[in-house]
Amino acid sequence: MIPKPELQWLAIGPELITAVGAMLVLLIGLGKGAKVRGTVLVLSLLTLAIALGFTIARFHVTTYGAFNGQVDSDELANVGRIIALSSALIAVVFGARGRSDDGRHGEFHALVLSAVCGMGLFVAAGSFVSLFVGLELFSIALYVLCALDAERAASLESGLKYLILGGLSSAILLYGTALVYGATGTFDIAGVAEASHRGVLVWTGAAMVLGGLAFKVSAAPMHWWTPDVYEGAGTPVTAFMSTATKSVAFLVLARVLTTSFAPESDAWVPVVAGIAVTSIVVGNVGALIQTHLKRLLGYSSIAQAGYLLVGLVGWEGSGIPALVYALIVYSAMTLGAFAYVLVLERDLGRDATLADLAGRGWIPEGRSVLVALPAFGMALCALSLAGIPPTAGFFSKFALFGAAVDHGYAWLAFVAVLGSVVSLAYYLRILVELYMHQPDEARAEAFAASLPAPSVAIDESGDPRDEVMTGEPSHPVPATPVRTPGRAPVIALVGVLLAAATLVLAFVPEPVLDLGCDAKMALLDVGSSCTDHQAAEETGGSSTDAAAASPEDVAPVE
Amino acid sequence: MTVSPEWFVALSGVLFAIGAAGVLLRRNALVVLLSIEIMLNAANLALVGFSRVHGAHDGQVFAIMVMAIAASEVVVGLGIVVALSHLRRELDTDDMTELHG
Amino acid sequence: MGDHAFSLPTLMIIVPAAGGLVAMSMLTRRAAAITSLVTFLAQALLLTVTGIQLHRFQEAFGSSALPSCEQQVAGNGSHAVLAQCYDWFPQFGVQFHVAVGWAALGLAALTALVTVSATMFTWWADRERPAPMHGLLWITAAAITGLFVARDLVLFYVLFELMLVPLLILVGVWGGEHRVKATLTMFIYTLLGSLPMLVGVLGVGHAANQAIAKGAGAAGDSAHTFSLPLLADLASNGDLHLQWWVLASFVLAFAIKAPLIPFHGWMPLTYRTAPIEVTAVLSGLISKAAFFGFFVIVLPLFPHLLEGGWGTALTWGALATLIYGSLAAFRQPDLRGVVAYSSLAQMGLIVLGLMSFTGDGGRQALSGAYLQTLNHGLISAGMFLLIGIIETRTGERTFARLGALGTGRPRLLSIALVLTMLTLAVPGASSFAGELLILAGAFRGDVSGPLVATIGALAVVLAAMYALRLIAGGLFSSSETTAADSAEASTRFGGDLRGRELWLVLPVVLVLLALSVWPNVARRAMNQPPVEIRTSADPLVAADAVEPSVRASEEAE
Repeated sequence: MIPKPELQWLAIGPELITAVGAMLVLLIGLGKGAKVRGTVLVLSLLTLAIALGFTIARFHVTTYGAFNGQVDSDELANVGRIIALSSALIAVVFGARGRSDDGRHGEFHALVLSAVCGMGLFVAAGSFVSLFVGLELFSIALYVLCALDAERAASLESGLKYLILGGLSSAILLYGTALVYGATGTFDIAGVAEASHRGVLVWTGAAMVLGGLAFKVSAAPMHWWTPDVYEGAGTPVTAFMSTATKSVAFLVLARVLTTSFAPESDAWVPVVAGIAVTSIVVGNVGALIQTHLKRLLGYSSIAQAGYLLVGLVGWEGSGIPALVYALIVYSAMTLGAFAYVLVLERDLGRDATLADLAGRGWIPEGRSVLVALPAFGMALCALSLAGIPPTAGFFSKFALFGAAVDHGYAWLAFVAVLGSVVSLAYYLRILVELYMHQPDEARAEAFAASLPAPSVAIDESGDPRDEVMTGEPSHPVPATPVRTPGRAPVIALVGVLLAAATLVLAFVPEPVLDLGCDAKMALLDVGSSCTDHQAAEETGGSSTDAAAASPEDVAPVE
Repeated sequence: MTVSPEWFVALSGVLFAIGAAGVLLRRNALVVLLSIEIMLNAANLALVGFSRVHGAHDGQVFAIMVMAIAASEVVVGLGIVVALSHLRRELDTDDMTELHG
Repeated sequence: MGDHAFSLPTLMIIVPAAGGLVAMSMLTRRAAAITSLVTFLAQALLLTVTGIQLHRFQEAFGSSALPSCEQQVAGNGSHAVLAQCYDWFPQFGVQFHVAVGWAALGLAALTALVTVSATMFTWWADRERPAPMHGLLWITAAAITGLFVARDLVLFYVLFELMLVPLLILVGVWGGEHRVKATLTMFIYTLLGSLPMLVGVLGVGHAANQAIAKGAGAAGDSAHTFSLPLLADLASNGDLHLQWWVLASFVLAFAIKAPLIPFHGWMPLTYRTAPIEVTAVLSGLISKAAFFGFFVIVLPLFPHLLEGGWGTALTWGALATLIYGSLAAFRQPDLRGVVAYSSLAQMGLIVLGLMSFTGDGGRQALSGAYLQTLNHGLISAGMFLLIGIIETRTGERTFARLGALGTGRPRLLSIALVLTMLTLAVPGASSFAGELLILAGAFRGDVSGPLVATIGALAVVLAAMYALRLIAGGLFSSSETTAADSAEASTRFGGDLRGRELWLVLPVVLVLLALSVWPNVARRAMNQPPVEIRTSADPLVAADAVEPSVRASEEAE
């Protein structure tokens, strides 16, 4: 008799909600007409909201070892879900007005919902099996999302590039998992740490797993895909990718490194430090010469990944809370920046470059101050990304670098700080364009000349082999402009709110810091204080600190 | 004569290397997708081999799941390739210069 | 802490910030100017109230007592609060910790006065888009004032960097030619120093955590702290083990900000390109942030290192800045350049005074440094504003195209002469008192010594060279200009200083004259520096050293 497996459905509640939502949306989206579009949008937003509410309400409800050890739904996982769901909500709002044909209304939303489902599984994974399944689920959804603007060659190329490089890294991760399994005999994330044989196989496997995850967070040397894919994909998709994927991947990286490979921490901490340095250098230097806004943000996200890795170095002390705070702040400011890029794109009808920002910081004659507010939001996000006080971006760097300094990696903090100085050169360019330059048609045209073509017309004479592949005669696709120029007030508003969040999170950091503390305590499974090294637990001060920091912390395990 | 599982793992390593080389060095998109498949199957082989070493089923079950995932991934890849071929003729990745990288 | 939502020092930050935000949204030039004036009056009132409260506080708790979070209120029933601690990032030990003593109060008053003069100049000069300019100037003032009352290291750092952001916009939007390059140079060069300082701050925090973990110091119930008084306590007991690179990062940041040679590269371009009132703020206020940073961070936290090689290096660096600045000032072709380099020289002198804090003359040198800081802030602001009037009226900046402005314009001449005499530090002027105190203290200093003091004294004489050039070149005819050019400049200048222009520079001059008559005002501020500074190796000796000098000064008064 096969024993009945325990199925704790509530542990993957958010994933179930989004999965059901995805299927519903896809089915309903097969209809025609504007009403269907509206329904699909509302349904998708509703699904995400319900899942988000569910996660928040059950934030402290932890379930370890659900589904026979496949799911570990703890505070860390819930933090990841919250970030992914919120990013998805905002991405859906961004993508709401995208073009779609009858019968295809549900595609974008179903894919986003599937991606979020995969991210939830990924971050709540208790074993490498479910980790891989979740990873592939959201990765494949993202490949399609990138390629979704099928009339633009750039979009398809970005999807293909992402798929190829993503497939490569997934294969590396999978092989690493296999090696670790070979050495330890288990797929369980916590179980791997307990195995006694820690020889070459485990080290190689760990390195490959690290490599595969490093791809997802755009850390050098696995960063090659980022600028191109960010540039080619539609902006809502880029926004979603850059925040949600990176955040969940970082959380999983933290989980895997500090749980499965904790015994090797003396080995992987320097490696992570090295990857951080490389990312910071590559990202900052690469961004200096960019003019295309999405590419610039792509390179900047590589550098940001470097800063986040610096925090991971100090994982024993305050590294995990710092990482959580920094991820939430990073998501807010990046989404805010992309919101403005999207507003610009709608306004111009094409991709935006630095020159298109010129002069937009000032209020045009006779208009209200609200017109300049989105640009101010962009300026705030740029300052936050650069790490200038009093934005939350500064405090997240403070927390991340502080964790490294506490762990004895002051030199790494210095390198990171020098990288920040270099990054000023391009972040300040945004401010300079907004406030110190005048709008200049000729200059904007010159910058725009380097953009990829908006769409490509094909020639009438189709290849007869196409008929074989698709089963129908190839027909020419009319060269239509990808986006019609227009305003985007809702997106602008969302951008301003996100920019405001970067200030709010700086002045009222308590809630997010508490989240981070909870995540750390769940992850490291210790009752120690939030920021002290575990060694310092003996001092009387730490326990009172822990009690004071998160009073509602006690997590009932189901 | 039974082949000891370690040989499967060694074979999987070789296949993985071949696949990786294919992804990085070949220019035709279809061949690259093919190479990714090789890599994933190499991992499958390793999983099955290790599963045998440990005398458990875990690895084999995981391998079956990976096969399904790999199939969906390649379907998506081929779909994108088809869409690309609607817009242009060649599938040479070196000529995909719309994006600058 | 405290039942009050806002303490006086917090209000000292909020008032100018709020004023700045309101000013930014004003629609007419006039409305913005009125908002600026109102903000200044509110701030002046607040500072007066704070002064009264502080006086009462010291009557209750002793003349050397300072407000802290435990001891905030005067015992005699007054309700105003002089210090505030608010947990900001408790997990990292960061607090919003502000407290105000006489030193901070004096500097806050300086800030308010210079800022209102600058904003009035903006109004007088009829700048484009005046409202944001007023607003940004007041926001800068808020950040600077906040820095003077900050008692948490991270809060200090936040404000130290924050004050650059409005300046970035001010110079970049309203500046002259090459303004974008100038503002980016200033910003990035400064951050090249202050971003590594972040690592230094983290290093201090780390060392403090370790010290507390070993049970040292009265850290309360927190395992982490960035509180400056606590850190100074730990340092003076020898429990704070800070490495050389932490000191280096702080020194670099402050040396770039002050500036001190060889880190002054950003200064000439920025001072010349910025709108003149912003230059006045830069020279008069921003450099004081560096002074204050040395004062409350470097001196208290690194007593050992500063008694050795670092102290020597800084002392000689300061001396070199004094000499170089004076010599370079003499050779500048334009008005702004002379005052800019003289400003550099003065900062060198001030830092020299700071570095002489060990030894018998410690308190003297610190008093002198503080007094000179106030002086320098007022003098350079006044000078730059006067230059601004000349520039705006004649459209010329260089000595080659100016001259003969003094003839027939008694008001202009008198004010210019008074400011020049103050720059020269003629005996009787407050700057003379400041320089004397600094040099006397340096003479008796452990690190500086007689040689340094003598060289310093000689260098101070160099001020005569550039000060007289300023007068000769700007107000009379010098050999650098032709009669035709100077006549032209004089014609364009028009009549003497009128009412509004007079009031641009007069307040600063009047305060300077008042300080010249009562320099002990500054002395009183230095009776208890905001953060305890060990002026000698033995803490007990330091305490004794305070008593005699205080008594002596009280007898002398």
